[in-house]
Amino acid sequence: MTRIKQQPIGVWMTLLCMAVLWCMVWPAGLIKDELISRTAADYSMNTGPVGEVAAIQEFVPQYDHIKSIGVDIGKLDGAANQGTLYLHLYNENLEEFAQIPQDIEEMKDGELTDIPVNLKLEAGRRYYVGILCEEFGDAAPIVHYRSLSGNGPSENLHFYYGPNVIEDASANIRYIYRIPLTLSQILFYDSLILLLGVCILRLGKRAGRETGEKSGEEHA
Amino acid sequence: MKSNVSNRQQQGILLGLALLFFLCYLSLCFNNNIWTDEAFTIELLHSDFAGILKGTASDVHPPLYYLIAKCFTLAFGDSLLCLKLVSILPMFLCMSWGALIVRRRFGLRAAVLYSILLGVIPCTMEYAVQVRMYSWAIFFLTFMALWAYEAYLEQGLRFYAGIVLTSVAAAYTHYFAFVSAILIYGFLFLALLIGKRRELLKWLLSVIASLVLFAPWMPYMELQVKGVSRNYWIEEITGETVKAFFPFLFDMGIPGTTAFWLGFLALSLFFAIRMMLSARTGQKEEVGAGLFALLCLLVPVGTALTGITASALIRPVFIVRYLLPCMGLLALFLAITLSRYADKAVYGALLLCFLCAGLVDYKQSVYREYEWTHTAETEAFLDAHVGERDIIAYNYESYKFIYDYYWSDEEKVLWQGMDLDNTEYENIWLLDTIYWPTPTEEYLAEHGFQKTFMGNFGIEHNDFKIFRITRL
Repeated sequence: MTRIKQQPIGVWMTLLCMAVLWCMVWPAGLIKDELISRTAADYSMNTGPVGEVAAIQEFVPQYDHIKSIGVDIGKLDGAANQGTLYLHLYNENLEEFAQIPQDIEEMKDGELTDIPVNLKLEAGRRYYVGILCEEFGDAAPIVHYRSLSGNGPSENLHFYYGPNVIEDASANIRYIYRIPLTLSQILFYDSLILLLGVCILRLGKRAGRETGEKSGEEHA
Repeated sequence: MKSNVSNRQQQGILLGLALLFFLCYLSLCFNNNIWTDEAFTIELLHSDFAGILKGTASDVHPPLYYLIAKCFTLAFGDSLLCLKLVSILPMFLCMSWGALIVRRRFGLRAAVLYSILLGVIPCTMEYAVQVRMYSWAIFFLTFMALWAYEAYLEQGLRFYAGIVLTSVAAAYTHYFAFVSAILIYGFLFLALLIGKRRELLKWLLSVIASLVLFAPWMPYMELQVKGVSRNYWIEEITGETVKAFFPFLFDMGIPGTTAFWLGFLALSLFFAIRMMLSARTGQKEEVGAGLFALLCLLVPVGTALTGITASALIRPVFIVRYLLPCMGLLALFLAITLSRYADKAVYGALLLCFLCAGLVDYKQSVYREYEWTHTAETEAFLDAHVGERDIIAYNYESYKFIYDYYWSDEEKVLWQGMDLDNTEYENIWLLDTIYWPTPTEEYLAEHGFQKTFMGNFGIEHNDFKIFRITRL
C-alpha cells in the first residue's frame, strides 16, 4: 500500500520537473545560443594611450542581449600591463548606464579579449562604448582599430579618440550575442530532458520493484 | 530481448537509415566551397596515377584516397560534386553494410544506434562531405575492428583476409589510421593470447601479409617522416590543446553539448565494465561484447596518446582531426553498450535524443556549407564584373592553391609581382587580404592608377576586400 502511494508522487514529481525544465528551455529561454559578429580584418592602426583620453566606439547592436565585448589593446611591449580597463556604456543620449572593469594584466596583447558584459540592449538603437584605463602604471594601453570601409563589424559606426572622430576607423571589437534557440535546438534540449525523465522513471520503477521483492522475501 | 521485426524488415530499417543519412550528406554537397586541403586534393587529381604517387610522396599523407578519387574522376568526371560523392560513399557503406554486420552480432537495437551515432557525432557530418580521406579511413578502421571481432569469434580465414585488406587500406589512407590499425592488431593479439592461442598463427600470417603489402610504400613513408620531423605546421601540444580536442569532436555550437557527449561516453564506459563483470554469471557473449566495446574506445584513446607522445618526442605531428578515422569505433562503443542497458522506453527516448542532436548538427552543416562563407557572392561578383581586358590580382601567395580552383593562371596574377607601369589591363580586381599591405592612394597615383572599394568578400576561411583599380 505504501509503495502504491509513494510511486505516483515520484512519478508526478519527475513529470513536473520535466515540464518545468521544458518550460525553462522554451518559452522561458534560459538556454541561449551564441552569435559572434564577424569582422574582416586588415592592418591594425592604434589610438594613443587610453589613460587620460578614452577611445569611444559608436555601435548599433544587431540583437538585444550582448554577452561579451571583445577588445584588442596593445600593451606597448609590456610597459602598459597594469591597472584596470573600464568599458563605459552610454546610450544615444550619452547617459552612462554601465561600467565594466577588466584587469589589464589578464588581457591579451594585440589580440581580442572578450570582456563579459551581459547587457540587455535594444537592437537597432545607437550606443557608445568608451574604453578608458585607471590606475595604470607608467603607461596606459593603446586600442587597435582598422578601416571601417568593408571591415565592420557591421555594428560599428564612428570611432573617436577623445572628442575627435577618426575618419574611416572601426575599433577592432567583436560582439558576442546571446540569441534565442532555434526550433531544432529547442527540440534537442527537450528530447534530452525527456531522456533524463524516462531514465529516472524507469530507475524509480526498478528500485520500487526490488524493494517490493525484498520486503516480500522478508515476509516469507 | 527478442525483436518482433522480421529479418527483412530489419535490413530495410538499416538500409533506410543509411539512405536517410546519404540524402542528408548529399544535400550538403551542392556548393563550390573548398579549403586549402581540399584544394590540394583537387590539384593532385589533375595528375595521372604516377603523378599522384609522386605528389603524395612529397606531401605528408599516404596515397590511397587520392588513387580512389582519381578512379572515380576517370569514371564520372572531376566535378566537385563527384569528389564529394567519393567521400560520402564510405559513410554509406559503414551505415548499410557495417550496420548489417553489427546487427548480426549485436542485434537490431545496437545496429540502429550505431548508424545514427555515426551520422550524428558532430565532427563526422562536417568531414563526411569534404574532399579528403577521413571518411574512407573511418570505413577501413570500422570494418577492420568488426572483422577482428568476427575473426576472434568465428576463426574464419575470410575474416583474417578482411583484416589484412582493411588494415593495409587504412595504413595507405592516413598514418594515424595506420596507428589505429596497429592498435587493433595489438588488441586482437592480446585477446587471442588469452582466449584462443591456436589462432595466433593466423594472426601472425595476417600481420606479415599486411606488412608485405605496405612495404612498397615504406621508403616513401620514411622520407615523409624525416621531412615532417624537420619542419611541420602543427603547433606544440599543450594541456589547452588536449582540452580543445573534446569540443572539436563533440561541440554542436550550443551550450553543454560537449558535456552531453562526454556524459554518454562515461555512461557507456560504466556499462562496458558492467558487461565485462557479467563473467561471474557465466554470460560469455556479454563479456565478449563488453570487452569489444571497450577496445573500440581504447583505439582512439591509444591513437591520441601515440600522437601526443610522438609530438613530445619528435615534433608536433598530431592534431585532433587525425582522430576522425576512429569515429566509427566510437559509434560502435556507444551503440553496443547503450543498446544493452536501455529498455524499450529509454531506447526510444535515446533514439529521439540522438536524432534531434543530428538535426542540430545538420542545420549547422547547412549553415557551414551554404551560408558561412562569401564564396558564392565572390564568384558571382567577379563573374559579373571582370571583363576580357581585366585581371584578378591576389596578394596572399599561399592561397594560390585555392584561387587555382576558381580561376586559371590567365585570369589571375600575384599582386606583388605586377608591374603597374607596364600593365595593359583595363581593370585590376584586387583581392586584398591582411597578408600584404593595401596599396595606398599615393602609391597608385604615382603609377597612374586609383582604387575603388567594391565590398567585403572571401573564399572559405579567407576574407578579403575587393578593390577595383583603374587608370586615372
